[in-house]
Amino acid sequence: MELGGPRWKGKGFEDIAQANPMSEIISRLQTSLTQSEASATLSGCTALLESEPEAAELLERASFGQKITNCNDDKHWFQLAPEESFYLCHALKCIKILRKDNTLMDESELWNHFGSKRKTFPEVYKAYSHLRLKNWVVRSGTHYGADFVAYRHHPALVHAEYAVLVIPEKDGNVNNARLSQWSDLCCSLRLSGSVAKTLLVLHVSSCDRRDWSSLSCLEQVTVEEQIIRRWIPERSREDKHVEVDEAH
Amino acid sequence: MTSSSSLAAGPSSQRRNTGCDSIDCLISLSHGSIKPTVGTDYGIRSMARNGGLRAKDDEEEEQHQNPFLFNNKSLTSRPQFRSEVSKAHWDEEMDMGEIIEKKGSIWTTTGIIRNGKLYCHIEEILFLAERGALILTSADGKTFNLGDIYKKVIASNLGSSWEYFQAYRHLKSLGYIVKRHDIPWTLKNNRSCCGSNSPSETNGRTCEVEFGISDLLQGMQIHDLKPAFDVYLPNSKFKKSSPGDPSFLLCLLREDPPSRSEVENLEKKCDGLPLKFCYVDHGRVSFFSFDKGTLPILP
Repeated sequence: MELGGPRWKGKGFEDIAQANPMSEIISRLQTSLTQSEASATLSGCTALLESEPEAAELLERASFGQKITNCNDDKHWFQLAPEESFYLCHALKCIKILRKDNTLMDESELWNHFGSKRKTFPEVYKAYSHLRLKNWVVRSGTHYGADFVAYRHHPALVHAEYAVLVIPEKDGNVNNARLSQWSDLCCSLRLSGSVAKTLLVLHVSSCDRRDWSSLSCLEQVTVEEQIIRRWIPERSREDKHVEVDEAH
Repeated sequence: MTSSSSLAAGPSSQRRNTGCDSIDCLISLSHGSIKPTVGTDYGIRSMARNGGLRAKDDEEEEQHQNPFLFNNKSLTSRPQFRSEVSKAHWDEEMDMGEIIEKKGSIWTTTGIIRNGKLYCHIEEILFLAERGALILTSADGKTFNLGDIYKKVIASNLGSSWEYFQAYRHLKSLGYIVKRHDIPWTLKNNRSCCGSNSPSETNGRTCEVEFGISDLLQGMQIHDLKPAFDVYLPNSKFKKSSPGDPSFLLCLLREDPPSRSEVENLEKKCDGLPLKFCYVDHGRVSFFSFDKGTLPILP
């Protein structure tokens, strides 16, 4: 059963998206942040990034972080979630991370820091970077009962397509309890339906727990994508592609 | 949101919750009964319009501003500097700002009194500075800009400081009266500016969880759940000299929801004061209660 594909939020928005491919925005963002030697200061799990106006606009277009409202125009402040700041620092290598006392933190230390704050950070980060590297826009999904919500382009232009759950896996056996009970699975499907229509499960093959402490483990870990849907036989009896009626 | 606008919103409005779920969300409460009555010069409505604090249906997608518009105007509203701007002077030793020029009615519900002087913690300062209602200066007369104040919040010893600030700001913007837990509204002898309980000076019940200065100074990872803030309902007649009991105590949660035993331990220490829990994630501030259930036996 084919779903309708991306749902754009306004007339002409698909054209705007096509004219501004996400890969280009991110590439320009990388350059702009690197040139301005941007840095973000760490506070617990959040990092506060100070940026020039040009980089700020690109951050918004690429949908990284959240703008903090402020009274100045010359400096813009964004708050970054752990996976976002780690992605900008490690994958794109365009920002530096500072501790409270303004000293520089290197990537391994940052990795360990986030890992100590959130047990699931390594797998969640791997899933985040997997989607971002494919140029999907990834935002937090916690409020919707998922780990992430994935958009084909900027969330102002298009509705979310996937609600994403991250499941660490060892040797093909699911390592933890998520989605292992029907009430959980149906709950996730139900919730994802009201946000994004499709549940995407990312199975992250985890190393031995010990190895996650080393950043190099990131390269060896793989991500498998799985799409879980409910199939409604009452609506599938015609032998052609049908738009799923969502009001059920 | 008025009923007329929800009719115009289209099919998603049919799925709108008609009331709060069992997971209480104070965001949706703000629609109804609680209206900010004090400190309306916070410019709450202008903040709410511009992406920060508007309450929204839990199940709808977030609203996002479109950064691809061609008119290039600033995407976030900048609150105007008000004509009534208070001034504070940062006191390094107290780790607070001393208010040297008070303007506006906000001060009946903000700041604490020590030896007859008014002081503010860094989160209160940032809240007001973001709204253009306060200017902070240092010992040598230099004015702190917003970036400096953000860094001060990060550097503060208040828990996971940025998350604490977000929780504080969220409730304060809605008109609630918020104070750090276990810190008296007023103290006559300046024995300590924070931390120790002085029941003789404070009215109302207090929670017995100790929140000593040494913990704060060491910036320890304090794993025990403890209240971060005392919160009072908006009240134009609020008096720091007799505040009464807080409406609830707010605890900030970390990675996981609290276990039942953690909640029970906390309830025991808090002398019957209601507890609410706050989870800050990716900039979204959510509130929950975990109350003991007592279902009636039905006939």
